[in-house]
Amino acid sequence: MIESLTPILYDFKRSFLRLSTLLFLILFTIGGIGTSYLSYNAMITQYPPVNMMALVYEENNTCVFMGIVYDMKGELVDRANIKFNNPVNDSVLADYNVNGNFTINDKGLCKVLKKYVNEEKYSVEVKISTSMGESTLYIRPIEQLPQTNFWPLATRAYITILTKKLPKTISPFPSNIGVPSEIPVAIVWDQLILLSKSSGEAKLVLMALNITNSVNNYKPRFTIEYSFIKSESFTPGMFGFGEVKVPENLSYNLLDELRNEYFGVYSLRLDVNKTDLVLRFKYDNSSSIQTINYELLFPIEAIYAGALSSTAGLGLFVQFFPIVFLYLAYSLMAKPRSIGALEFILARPVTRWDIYLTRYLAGILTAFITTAALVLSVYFGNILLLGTTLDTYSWILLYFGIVGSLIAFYSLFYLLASSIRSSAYLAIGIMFYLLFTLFWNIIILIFALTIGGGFAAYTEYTYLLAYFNPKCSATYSNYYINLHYEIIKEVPTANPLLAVISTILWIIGTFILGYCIFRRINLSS
Amino acid sequence: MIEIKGVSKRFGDFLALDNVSFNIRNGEIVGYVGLNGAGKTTTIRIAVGVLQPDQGDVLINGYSIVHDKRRASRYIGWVPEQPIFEPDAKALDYFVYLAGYYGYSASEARSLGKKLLEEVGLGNALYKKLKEYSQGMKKRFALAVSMINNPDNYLFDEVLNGLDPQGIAFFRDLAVKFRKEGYAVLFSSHILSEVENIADRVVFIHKGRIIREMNIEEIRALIKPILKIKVDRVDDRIKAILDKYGIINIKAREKIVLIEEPSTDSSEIVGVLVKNGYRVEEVSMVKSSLEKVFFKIIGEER
Ligand SMILES: Nc1ncnc2c1ncn2[C@@H]1O[C@H](COP(=O)(O)OP(=O)(O)OP(=O)(O)O)[C@@H](O)[C@H]1O
Ligand SMILES: [Mg+2]
Repeated sequence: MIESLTPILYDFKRSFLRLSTLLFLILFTIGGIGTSYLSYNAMITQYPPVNMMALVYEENNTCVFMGIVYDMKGELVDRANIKFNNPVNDSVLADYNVNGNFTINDKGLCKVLKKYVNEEKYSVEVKISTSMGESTLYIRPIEQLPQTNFWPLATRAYITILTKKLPKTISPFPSNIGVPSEIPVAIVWDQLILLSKSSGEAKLVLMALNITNSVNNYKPRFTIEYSFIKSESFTPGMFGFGEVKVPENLSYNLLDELRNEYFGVYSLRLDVNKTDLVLRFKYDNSSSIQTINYELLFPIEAIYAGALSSTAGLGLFVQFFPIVFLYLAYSLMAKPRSIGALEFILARPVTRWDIYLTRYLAGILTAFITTAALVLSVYFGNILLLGTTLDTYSWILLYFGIVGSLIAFYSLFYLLASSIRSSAYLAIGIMFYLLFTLFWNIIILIFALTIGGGFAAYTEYTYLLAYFNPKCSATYSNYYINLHYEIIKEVPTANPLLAVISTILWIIGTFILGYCIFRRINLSS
Repeated sequence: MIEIKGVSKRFGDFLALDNVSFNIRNGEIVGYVGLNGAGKTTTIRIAVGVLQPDQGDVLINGYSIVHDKRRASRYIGWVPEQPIFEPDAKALDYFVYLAGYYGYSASEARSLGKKLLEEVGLGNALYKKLKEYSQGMKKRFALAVSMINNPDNYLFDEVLNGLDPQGIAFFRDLAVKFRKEGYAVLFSSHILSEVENIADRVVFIHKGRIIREMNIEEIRALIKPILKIKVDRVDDRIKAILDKYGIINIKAREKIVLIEEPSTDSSEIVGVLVKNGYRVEEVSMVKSSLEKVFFKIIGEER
């Protein structure tokens, strides 16, 4: 028994352990690194890779430039280069190499900013360069800062540098909170970065100016506290937040104590059952409250998931890599069969079934391993590039989606390789490949336009027609990852059970049909 | 021992083999003779298990090639009519690859490969690519591969065809050696004379059917020597004089007398004729050819 299995295991080993498998492994790994780079790029077109919150103030003949530079996850960067540019002629007005949390004293900067900012707002461009990427901000002076009305000794002139404006879907505008209307003692800017919607992991980036610092004889104790509430009906206002009623008896946790000009990044775990973060800004016996709604905040992981599964990320891979399996079926089956070399091998102690099965399984194992290489390299690539990844559920879904679709393609190509001549094989294989990848969207469109529904029904037809495409499992895993991160809405025509059945049928059906032909086919050239 | 049992094979509508049965016993070289397209290669491909018969079976040492191919294949060697290998592989590498099917590790296979390829006369072409091999070299290579498992049954399909005299002698000697070791060997050919001086037995196939099985003695018996004598005249008396030396056939117009299987020396017969006053102008010994026998056998069937 063992003796009769030796040739089969051997044939399998020989079919799998080939130079081309190694090349595929390298190719897929490079593909994975490329994919993580592409998805990172796709991500930073939607979201600034680095951001800065900073301010410049002038007092008693000193000019202080202080702030923080942080990445899209709210982590302070190690090193950054900050350039103040005149956008009109692109000349550099000032240039600093700083840490993630910096304070610089440079009289020249205030001179420059006064000249360029005071009259024409936003006219100085601030370019931040880090290893993570670049981002551009614009300077805005704080004009409304009270100077003499209530606190005649508050003499500082502040210029803030706000966080980069974000698209509305990602985050509300940085809000100007905690300016106590009756006693203006502090000013606070914030940016809430939601990392994961499911766990509520978030970063709160805060800039608070304790302007009483410069007021003689008035040193109240400032604290910032936080809590969560569920707002009844949220109506997004013009600035991304609406009016929320905060109960009087809400209990708060201490976030920090405010001393001087202050910058901080706080890790928070948002209460996923609530909708708003409440910040209470307390001094003496007064307090003011501000809420930040995080219900509609787009989490970083979703931006990443969206970018990764888009056509700019893994979509590209799913589109092009079936070609590799077209070649694999060619070299394992179509070519040796057509030239007649398989016949001499068949005279060894193996059966046709053994040869058919082992060479098929070699392709399947290749699909499993190369996809693992791909997914792992995407995983590590993304950890390195942006330090964020998907959750386990999504990785599993992603892996099996791609494996399922590559195996379905391989099975189809293997069927062709076992039944038609190798010269015709390449032509017909490429035709099928084009049909199922590049031309498929056109077919969906034709269906939508002719059968009914028009452009609006395109998405529904996408999932309906996916069953008839070997790409089905990849299409569906993509769909469920996007659904998982609430990037897209549920499509009524999508049916996971049918997707699984379709993939199994694509694989088993072509495999059996291929064998029925191969069993009887003449192996001499 | 190879037992071909009632094998039939159709290619579409064309019946290539029609209930073909014969055995190749141990220690026996069997010639398998038929015209081009008679079905020899088809029979052999079925016997080695690379082609599926529509009906019938082939037993190799008792193991069915149809139902127990993995085992049966261990006991049979095959040199195809036109061996085809992966063209870009180097000979020894490809040998090692094929030896793996018999459970040989790479290093074992390498030393076995060097030994066997040396043995078949390819010792100086171990590292050549197979596409650079000539037809004769390919046959030798296929033979070396056939001998990996040292099987006791061999099927040689038109193996002498296209070989140089050295190659022909090599395969003949090898077959004789195999016979001595008690192996069963089949030589197929479309020329009877090619197998005549080596085979113990000849199986004739014609249009997919086995029409005759003959021992080599029976075949040789069909090849009769004929004494051809040209004389100055032929008359009634000459037949009477020569009658006792064999079957007489007189061609009066050409003045030729043919004596089939003469019972005595030609000089004695010539002497008798001269003594009786005939002038002998020409004497020669002719043979009815093997091919004539072959066609006669085929013809008999028609
Ligand atoms: N794959 C095939 N498809 C169709 N017909 C075939 C096939 N193989 C062989 N035949 C036909 O079967 C018949 C027997 O062929 P086969 O090759 O067995 O003859 P052969 O006796 O070996 O001839 P030769 O002496 O020329 O080698 C021929 O008529 C041939 O055309
Ligand atoms: Mg032939």
